[in-house]
Amino acid sequence: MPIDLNRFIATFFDEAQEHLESIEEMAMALSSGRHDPELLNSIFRAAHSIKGGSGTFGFTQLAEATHEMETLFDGLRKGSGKADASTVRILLDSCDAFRAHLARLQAGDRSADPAMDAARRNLAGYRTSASAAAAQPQAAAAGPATEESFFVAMNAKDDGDSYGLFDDEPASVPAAAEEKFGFFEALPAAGGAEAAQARAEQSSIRVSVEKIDRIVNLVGELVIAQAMMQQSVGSIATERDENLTHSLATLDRSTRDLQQAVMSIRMMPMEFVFSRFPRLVYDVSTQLGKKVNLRTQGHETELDKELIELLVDPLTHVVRNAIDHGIESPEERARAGKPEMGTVAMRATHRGGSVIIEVSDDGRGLDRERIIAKARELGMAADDSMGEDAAWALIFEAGFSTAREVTNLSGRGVGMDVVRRNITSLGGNVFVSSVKGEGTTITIQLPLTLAVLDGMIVSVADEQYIVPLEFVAEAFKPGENDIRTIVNQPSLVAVRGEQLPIVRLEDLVRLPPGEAPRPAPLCLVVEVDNRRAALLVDSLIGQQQLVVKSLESNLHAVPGVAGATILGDGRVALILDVTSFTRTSAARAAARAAP
Amino acid sequence: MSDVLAAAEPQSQAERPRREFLTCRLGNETYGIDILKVQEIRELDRVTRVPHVAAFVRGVINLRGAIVPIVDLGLMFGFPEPIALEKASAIVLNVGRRMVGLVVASVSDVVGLADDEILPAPDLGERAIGAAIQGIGTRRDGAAEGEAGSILLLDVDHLMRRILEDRG
Repeated sequence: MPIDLNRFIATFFDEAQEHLESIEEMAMALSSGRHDPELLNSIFRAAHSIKGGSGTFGFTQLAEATHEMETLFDGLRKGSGKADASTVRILLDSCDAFRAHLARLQAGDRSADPAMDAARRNLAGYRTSASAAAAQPQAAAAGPATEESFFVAMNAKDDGDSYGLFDDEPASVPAAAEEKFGFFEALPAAGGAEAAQARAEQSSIRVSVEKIDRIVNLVGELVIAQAMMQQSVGSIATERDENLTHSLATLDRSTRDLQQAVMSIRMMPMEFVFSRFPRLVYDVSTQLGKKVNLRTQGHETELDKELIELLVDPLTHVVRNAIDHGIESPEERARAGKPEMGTVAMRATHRGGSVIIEVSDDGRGLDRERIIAKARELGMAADDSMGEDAAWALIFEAGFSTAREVTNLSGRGVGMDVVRRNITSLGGNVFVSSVKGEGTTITIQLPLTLAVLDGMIVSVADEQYIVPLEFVAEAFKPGENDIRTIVNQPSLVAVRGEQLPIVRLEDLVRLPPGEAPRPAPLCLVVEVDNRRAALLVDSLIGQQQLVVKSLESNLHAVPGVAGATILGDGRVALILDVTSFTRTSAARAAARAAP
Repeated sequence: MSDVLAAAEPQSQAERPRREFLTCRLGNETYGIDILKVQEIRELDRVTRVPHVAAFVRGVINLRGAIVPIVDLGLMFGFPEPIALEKASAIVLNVGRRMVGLVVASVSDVVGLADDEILPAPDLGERAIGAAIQGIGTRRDGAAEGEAGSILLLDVDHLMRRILEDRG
């Protein structure tokens, strides 16, 4: 039975990407001065795995170029020359070329790629010069790639873990002894027990997010059904039904555990974000002629997959900023009595129901005077008496940039405001702290997941709505004299001397005007970005953890509504988009204040 | 096959190729929806109102964990009065992974139509119902069953598009 290779091409592309990422990571380790032979070994093996796969699928150019990389590192690990900064450079350049080439292949373009020829020549040229320098010709001993054949070996060597991609096909393909590992196999690491452990830790399967979301949905349903059953049984249960009550309690616990477990499938470690940054820091700092050391901490901190993906862009911006604006040039640092090598540290931790990601640099810190001067120049409201926190808040305003000259890295004024907008749209927050001359720390706070939300259930007329708890500041029953009307409409409420704009929930959700006067309403004070508003509701039902569902999957985005959830009784409640109405109420308040 | 036999077994598949339609009533008319697009018929329990949407979107329901909009087909087509949602049933369509519940005055029956019983849609001009009618089904044996002879066949893809695009 011939193997239908097309089925495996997608896996090849995924795994080739992963191998390239790990080559980049190892290149960064090399550049930081680590020189253990295992590093060279791993690069060799990663290159070899890509080569094996490309050979199988007939991606000749990729096979040839990775062959050169493999040969180069085979030589290096055997001691023919020494890896240095130029090795790192050529490794990174090759990875870029390979990646671009993979994208072409993936798009179905199998024409000759001149960039790949160049990459192969560079690697070959570098190898010859390196081995010539070391006067050890052995590295060049391997024959040209085109004369070798690559075969995909069955997972025959892997006895404990024998479900390979190809396990429907017995090991009938002849495998050359030297070419035993195919692209699908975990990198066989040298060094027995350690390697086995590493393999066990990374044992995983790929599952589509769609399938996981379906499980999440079903479990959500189960939780609701369970709650409804508990309610109806609870009302009829008597002492005789102790067994029943007991089993219900067990069922309750198990369903909740199940829900937690299912939610955790969506969680991914921060590793996936952090692993992209060594390369970025290397590129940016090289380009700017700065020396920067990146430290990352909290790789294992878990975050919802969706958030992980949405976090990369804002973090990239923050890190670029830190290097471009924060870290000084080596000369300037030397003058200030700092080590020439600057440090950018990224740290992820869990705190309560949030993930905190800090990006700090030991650079020059924010300059209060310059920020204020710049803000004034841009026509923003700023004065010299502003405190530091108020001044730092200015950098999040649209169009703000203090970069003296515009670089292609940052300083185009599309920086921190976009970062903040992205983060708040994920239900998070951004904070800055900075000490002049010592550095700046940007702290990003995010909810653990977008799939679950702590919400306050409020009711108005006969409908119930959810206000995300993170925005709720307080709730109180206003006295008659606390509420000011404007044009006979309740418009402002006094809270400890502060006048807050009133937002009537029934207007917000466009309920038909009630016929009968309703009981004196409650005020729920909500706060977003230091803007506060008072939401008038009929009553508070309670707090609950809720599974967030999208309205868009079957309808479309609805202004003012962030999503929907299913309450314990099975009915749908809308989750209010508090950020949108505090914005509009602030806009309206501003319009009223204007003459 | 004789007419007598066809009347006795209305559901039986004739030798001619047939398409099946779920029929429902709105006003005095009978509408037909391709049965292959219908996922289920569901009694409405509680519909949650949604602000800032087209008037014909009466709200959303929980359909086994999915949030599904409930569309008043009458309002969509320009009938003046909304359909009472209490004890109404919704025809749940599933088209390209999107689900929509249609409320109609009443759900009638499943009708099989042969290709030659389906006439192309007339040009209805600018009216709201306009492009929603795909064709008109006329049953040859309709009169024998005492039913209205013509069925307005709905273009389900058009309905789905309007629900997605018409944001009130």
